[in-house]
Amino acid sequence: MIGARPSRWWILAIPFAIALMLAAAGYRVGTFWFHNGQHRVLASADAGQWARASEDYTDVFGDTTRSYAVRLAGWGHKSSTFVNGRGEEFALPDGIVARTVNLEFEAEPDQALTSCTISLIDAQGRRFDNGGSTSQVANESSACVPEETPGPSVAVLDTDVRGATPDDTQPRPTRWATSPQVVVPRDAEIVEVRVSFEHPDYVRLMPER
Amino acid sequence: MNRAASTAATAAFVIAAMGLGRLITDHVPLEASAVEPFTVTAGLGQTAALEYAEVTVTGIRVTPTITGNPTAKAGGRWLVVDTELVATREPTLMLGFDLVAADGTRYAHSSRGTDCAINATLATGVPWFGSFCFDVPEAALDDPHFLVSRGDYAVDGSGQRRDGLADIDLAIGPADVGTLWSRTEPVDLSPTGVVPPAPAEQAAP
Amino acid sequence: MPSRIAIMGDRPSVRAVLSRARTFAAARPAKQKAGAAAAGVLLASAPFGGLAAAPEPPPQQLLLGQPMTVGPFEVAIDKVVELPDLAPAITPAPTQRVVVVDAVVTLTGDRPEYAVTLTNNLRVTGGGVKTTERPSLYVVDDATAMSVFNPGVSYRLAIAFVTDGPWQGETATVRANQVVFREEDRGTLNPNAWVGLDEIQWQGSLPLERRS
Repeated sequence: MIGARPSRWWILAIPFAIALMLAAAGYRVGTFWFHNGQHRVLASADAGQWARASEDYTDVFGDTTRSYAVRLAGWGHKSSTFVNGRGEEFALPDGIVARTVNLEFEAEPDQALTSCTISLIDAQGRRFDNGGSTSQVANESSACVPEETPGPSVAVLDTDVRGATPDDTQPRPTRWATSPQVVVPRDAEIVEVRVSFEHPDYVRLMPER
Repeated sequence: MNRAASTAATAAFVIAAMGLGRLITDHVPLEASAVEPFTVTAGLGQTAALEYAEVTVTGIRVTPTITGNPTAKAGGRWLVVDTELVATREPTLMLGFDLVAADGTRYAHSSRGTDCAINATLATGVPWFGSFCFDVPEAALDDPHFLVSRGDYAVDGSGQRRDGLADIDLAIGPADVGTLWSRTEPVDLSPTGVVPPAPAEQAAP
Repeated sequence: MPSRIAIMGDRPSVRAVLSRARTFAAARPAKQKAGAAAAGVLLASAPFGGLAAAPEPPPQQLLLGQPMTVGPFEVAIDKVVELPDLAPAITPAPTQRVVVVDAVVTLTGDRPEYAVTLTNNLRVTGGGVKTTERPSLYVVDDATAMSVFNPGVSYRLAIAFVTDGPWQGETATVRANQVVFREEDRGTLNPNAWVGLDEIQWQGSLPLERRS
């Protein structure tokens, strides 16, 4: 139409367009950040309460789920040495201790629960791990399962059988307890305990304050 | 305005915009700003505090031979850099350990010697000790710097892009080069890990 | 008006077709005519080798003691030796042998390089036995395996190939590919890399010493 004023509705669309542009430009955030750290809480519980988790993961045969429940039963002692799975002892420097965490688990015997990581988060936001590391004071590979009856591991070869109890061991009981150590500064105030198997998922257990 | 003037104005605007774009591209150092790491400098025996770790070089040793099983002979000389690292925020894997000479030439560390460190897996708050072994020509001993970071150097520093990097001056001046190069005493390394090295093995130049 | 519809049984004569083609060609602009003429000349040269690719330069002669450049490395071969083993570095099966190219290797570039840049591009043939494609490198002084080189440092290395059986004959042919520096690579996102080409730059028939 001759003389009509052009529409100005496009100005309103600008903020949406910018937001869409930023979201599209962040297409690598998922791969490089979210899936590379602990960023998604599967389940959460206060001290003494059970947290029930159902975690989707992929093994050599395809997608599957891991279901388990875990409870923070309490704290054990603080030691000036860390003892690894082979019984080797490492003296810790002054101001650093190995803190024992008492955990209780419930799960069916066919759930793959070996190779977990126990993390302690302190008031400063620092994270201290046992598991998922080759450091001599953080290389526990069975923090979440009993030593004699660890149960199945994640199937990685196509000759593996998903959910099968390993040869030479009894099936894992449906309820058990573990007491892994985590190396932390003696005076660290622990505000959160995490149990995780694969990034980005973890279970959050809140200690008593 | 009439059609011709409007076309001319549009054309002038487009040309001016292209010219401005060209000016920006020519004068803003995009390459440098895109990849530079954040560097923290320190001297021998001092601690460089990065956001994610603390880096200290506790000593350096120069020798033609690193003892062990097997003994390793340098093609030039071994420059052994004894380090102490602590992750300050979370468990951290560190992969970048390079020697850079005064002329900018970069040297890679070697795993040929027994107990030569390759990388560092750090548990939060727990000091880690390791010795990095560089097999270098004499020219490398003139004012070398030890660069430490999480990321590997990769291609042209791309693994260290926009991350914290510690730059440690190893305090070797031109006058020291000849003395160090002529040393013959073999050097023994402590195993890498959380066990501190025995004091007798630490020797300053 | 010429009819464009071909009616069954009413085919245009050969002469008519040729005449139409000639008119078409004559009506083309001068540039197209020149291009067509050039193409014609090129085709006509085919029987005389006009369409063959340019021949590759022959490989340079490799001799003992003579330095050759393989990418960023300078390699001077001292001798080629056959051994039953290279203990403690290599202990093959009793039927196998180890052929060692004893050489002084220097990295002349200005940055560290991995040993594979060299070992991917060296080959030994001519003994009538199956030979490993890629050799292992060991420092002669201490038998440690060499995996990364620093600029400006020289080593006496045992470039070791494991063979399926004893070498036949008195000579071994040593070949080195041409290795070039490629700054940008569209395919594999691997810039500033030394790339071995499928062309042999150095080749020599060297005497083989047997040590048993």
